[in-house]
Amino acid sequence: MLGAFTLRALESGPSYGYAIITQLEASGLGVVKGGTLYPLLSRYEAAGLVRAEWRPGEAGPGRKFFALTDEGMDELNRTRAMWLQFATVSTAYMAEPTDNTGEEQ
Amino acid sequence: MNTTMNDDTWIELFIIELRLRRVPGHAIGDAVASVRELVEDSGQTAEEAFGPARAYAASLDVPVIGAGERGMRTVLLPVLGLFAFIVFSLAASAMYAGELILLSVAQILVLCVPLALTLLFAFPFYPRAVMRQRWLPVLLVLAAGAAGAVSALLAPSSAEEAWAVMPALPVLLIAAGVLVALSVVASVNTMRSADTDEIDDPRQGDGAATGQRARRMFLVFVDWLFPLLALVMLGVTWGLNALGH
Repeated sequence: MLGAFTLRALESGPSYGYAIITQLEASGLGVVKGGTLYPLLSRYEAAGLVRAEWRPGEAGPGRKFFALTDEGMDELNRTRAMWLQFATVSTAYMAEPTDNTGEEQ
Repeated sequence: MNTTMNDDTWIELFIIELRLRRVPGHAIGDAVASVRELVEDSGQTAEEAFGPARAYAASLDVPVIGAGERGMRTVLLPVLGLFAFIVFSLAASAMYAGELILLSVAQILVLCVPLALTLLFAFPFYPRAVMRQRWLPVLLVLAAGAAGAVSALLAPSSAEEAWAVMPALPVLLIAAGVLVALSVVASVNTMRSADTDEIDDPRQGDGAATGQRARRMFLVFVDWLFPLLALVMLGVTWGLNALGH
């Protein structure tokens, strides 16, 4: 799911490595290492789901910003729909207390 | 691993790993700049943020240069150029001395060895093997050198003993044509190449573009080194010959 979360982190606009990591962490999704995030972004970039550009920094070296492409947005919407469906079904199943006490009917 | 690695050492290892994976310079520069960016932003060390350099290099989806293209750039064109230059030198000496170029069958067969070793670079398996085995390029150069030396020993002493007798001027002109053609091909490759395999830092903006242009011009100059040397050699041979008379 980290892939979908990363695409989601870019939905509101272009962002860079550390900002994506802090956004995911602030959303309660845990700390993602650079060694996990950047390979994912490189695969998405190669697959055309995100595009990357170096932007000069205001008072220091520049940063690499990643932005969703149209294909990336389609992929996000597809995985979001699948996730929501899965979450709805699994939440309903897990939340229902069962009358079954373990005895065979 | 209990020891902590300093970031510069980690980055050096990372660059070596990417080079071994035949990643072009611009992509290496990009990946290194991303590492530096996150290390500066997060305050972590490169090893903490990215894990072992080798594993991180293997996990990235980055472009790679084909083994054939690299073999062509670094070995095939220079070796063919050297071969044409040697033929040009022999023909120039023979021409000024007013002699014919004499070749024996054994000599031609021995000279075919370095030529065959070079032409094999057209097949992708060969450059890959040469790049992976460090001792193989050394062996190839030694084989080419030995073939040259042995062929000199097998040179016929008179036209009667020779299998092929060639006039010097046409050989000289053909060798010169090959030298120029190889340089043109190499220059076109250099100018078309999206990068000169130099690792640039994309975080430094357009400042690197000037350095890139200067390096490209230098590489084009290197592409024309054999024709330039051939001209110098022709002049020296002519001068020595004129002094001799």
